[in-house]
Parts: sequence; C-alpha cells; structure tokens
Amino acid sequence: MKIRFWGVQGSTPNPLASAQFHAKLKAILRRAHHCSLQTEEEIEAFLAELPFALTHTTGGNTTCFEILSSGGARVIVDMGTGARKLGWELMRGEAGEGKATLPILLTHCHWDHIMGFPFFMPLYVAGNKLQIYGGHSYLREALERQMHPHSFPVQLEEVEARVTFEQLFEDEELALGELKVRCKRLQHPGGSYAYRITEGDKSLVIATDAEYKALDAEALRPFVEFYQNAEVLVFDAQYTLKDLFQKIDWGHSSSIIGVDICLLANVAKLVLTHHDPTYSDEMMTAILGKTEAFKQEAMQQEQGQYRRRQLGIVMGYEGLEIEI
Amino acid sequence: MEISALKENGVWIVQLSGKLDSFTSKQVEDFLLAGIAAGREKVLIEAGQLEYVSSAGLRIFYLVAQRLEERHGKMAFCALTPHVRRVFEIVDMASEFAIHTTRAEALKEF
Repeated sequence: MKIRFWGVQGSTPNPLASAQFHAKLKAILRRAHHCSLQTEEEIEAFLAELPFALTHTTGGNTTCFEILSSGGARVIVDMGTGARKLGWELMRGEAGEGKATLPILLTHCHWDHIMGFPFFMPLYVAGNKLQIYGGHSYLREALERQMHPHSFPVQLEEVEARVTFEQLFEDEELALGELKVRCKRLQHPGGSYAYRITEGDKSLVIATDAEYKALDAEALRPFVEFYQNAEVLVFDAQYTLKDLFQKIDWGHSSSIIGVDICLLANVAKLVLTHHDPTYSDEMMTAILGKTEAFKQEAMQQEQGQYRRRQLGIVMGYEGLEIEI
Repeated sequence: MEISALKENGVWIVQLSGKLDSFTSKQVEDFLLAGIAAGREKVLIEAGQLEYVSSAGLRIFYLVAQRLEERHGKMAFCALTPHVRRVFEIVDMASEFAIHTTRAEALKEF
C-alpha cells in the first residue's frame, strides 16, 4: 500500500509567494558560498545537508490524499484544493477515457476539505463513477451547495460523471478492492472522521481535523484503540502546543500530542499534516525539530514501558509518498 | 505518581513525584483543581522528584495557570528535573511560567 500527499495545508490554501521563494534562494546561496558545486554529486550532497525549509515547501494546497493498494485499488481521502492536481494526473489514465471508478472518503465537509471537488476533472467525463463516502448524513447537500450557481458556474446535477453518496457508520467495514476501510468520529466542530485503511496486516490511519480535549488515558482510549499498531498515522498537527492551549475548541491538535498518542498506540510513523496557514516553512522545520526532540525525551523516559517499536516522524508535504 | 502538599507563607506547595503522563494526569488535575476551587490561589509546583512529563501533564499546567489567572492567582515551579526543564524548553513553555531553582527562591516571588 502507498499513500501520496496532494495537499496538507489546513483551513485555507496557502501558496508560496515570490518573496518567500526569494528568501529561500538567498539562504541557499549564502550557505553555498564556500562549497564546491562543480559536479552533480557535490550538488546533491550539498542539498542533502540543507534543512527542510530550504529544500521543500509544505505546499499551498488543502487536504487531499491518495491511497493505492499493491494490487492497484485506489482510494482518495478528501477533496481539498490538492484534488485539482490529482484529477489532472488521473485524467492521463482511465478517468480520461470515462472508465474510472473512484472511491472518495470525506473526513468532513468544511471548505478546506471539499473546495477542490468542482475542479476535479474526472467529474466532467461521462462514464466515470465517483463514489463519495463519509460519516456525515449531508455529503450530497454540502457538495451541491458548494456548486450552487451563486458560487460556481456548473451545478452538481449537470456534471457528466455519475456521482453517488453513501453514509458510513462506525463499527462497519467498507471493502474497496484489497483495501478495507473503517471510520471513527473525531472531536471537531461539526465532527470529522478518521479512516483506518488496511491491506493485509498493514494499516494506515488518516486522522485530520481532530482535537483531543482531555489527554488522560481514559479519554484517549477510543482513539488509541483505533490507531493501534498502525504503520502510519497522518495526524492533525495544526498548532504548536503553546498555540493549541490558546485555541481550545478550535478542533485541532499538535505534533507533541501526536507523539504521545503514537507512543500509546504503538504507531510506527507519525506524519504531520493540516498545517496552519500562518506558519512558514521555516517554522515547520522548527516544529519538526522540536517534535523529534520531544520524542527523544519521551522515549528515553518511557523506557519501552508501552511500546514495542521505534517511532519515525515525517513532515507532510505535497509530493510526499510513503510505502507501507 | 505521588502527590503531597503543604502550605508555607500562604503558598500552596504541591510536590509531584514520579511520572506525569496520560495514566496519572487525571489524578493530578483533580487534585490541583480541587485546591483552586477551595481557594488556594498561590500555587508552587515543586517538581524535584518529577521524572517525566508528557503532553497530558503540560496541558494540566496550562489549565491550572489559566484558572489561577482568572482568579488573579499565580502559579510557579521550582526544582525542575533536567528532563522536565528540557521538555518545557522544547515546547516553548519555559518562558510562559515562573521557574525557580529552589523553594526558598520561589517563595520570595509570591
């Protein structure tokens, strides 16, 4: 199974501006001043030493993930603005010929998780089937409202593809080819749903837009159970811990809490997502470093009391792919 | 987790010993909030025996500080272990709280 990240921004699109690109370029050139960069190998070695913020941007698009099974089954999670580029890529295959069946899981219907839907090109090709699943009862209504003539020139009832909607419930399993899907309601204004996607004995959990209002073991237990032994947990890390404690009831979490939950749930890899649009790539680099440092402290003290394997921490960014 | 408390110069000194994590945080939260509800508005957390603090513990410290602020009270720490001090620094909370080396030093500031 593989997960590809098409959008990781939280709340609203947040593209890199020229001034930010220029600042990155300047910082790289400053570091390159005394380096020999004559060969391809020297350039690659130089780049490998640079911090995340100078070699990457987390990307400006909002939430969209693509999961591919080893046998080729595909599931899309969320239709943030990242779905636009994914749509164009899919158009090069069956979707361009009107032969694609595309299951789409929606965590919830807040703007940043659906605003790429009207720009998802497979929607406009006759013969394609888009199967929208989610825990909310109003999936169709939310997508129709977004394409109301006041907001968009094409209405949902006018699109060429066949679009179906199905509400999912906790404790039931949805089979999509080799992939098995279960959902879990999270604490977020209006509710959001985590998805646990399993192929064989390996699971991936996407749990974005979630607040953990109490952090004691009993309050965390339902979530820890749902995330238990996952290979990858894609986690809402919108705020630093300090900012989070000032934003009670905003419905989001922090990478530091993600570390503790992963340690409790024996998760192998924590992937940070739903980045706050006010945080720069430089700040995201600092957050990654601090999260790693917190993990080291926690693992050193915890001394294998709860967990049985190491924990990796990865910054989510557009273009990231993780094999599971 | 062991919790003990005493009063000195009008300050409620709460001594925490052991690991403050998701398994023990409720115990500490209930103890501290009960003290505040009973009118204790000057709180000193003495953490010389506190081996470990997770995000669950950090949340309690923030919560208690907020409750005290609402009542014009004050919270401070003293005798932090290297681990706890390091965690405070990592999550940028070291500057949020009054942190003192010893109890005597902390009591002078209340």
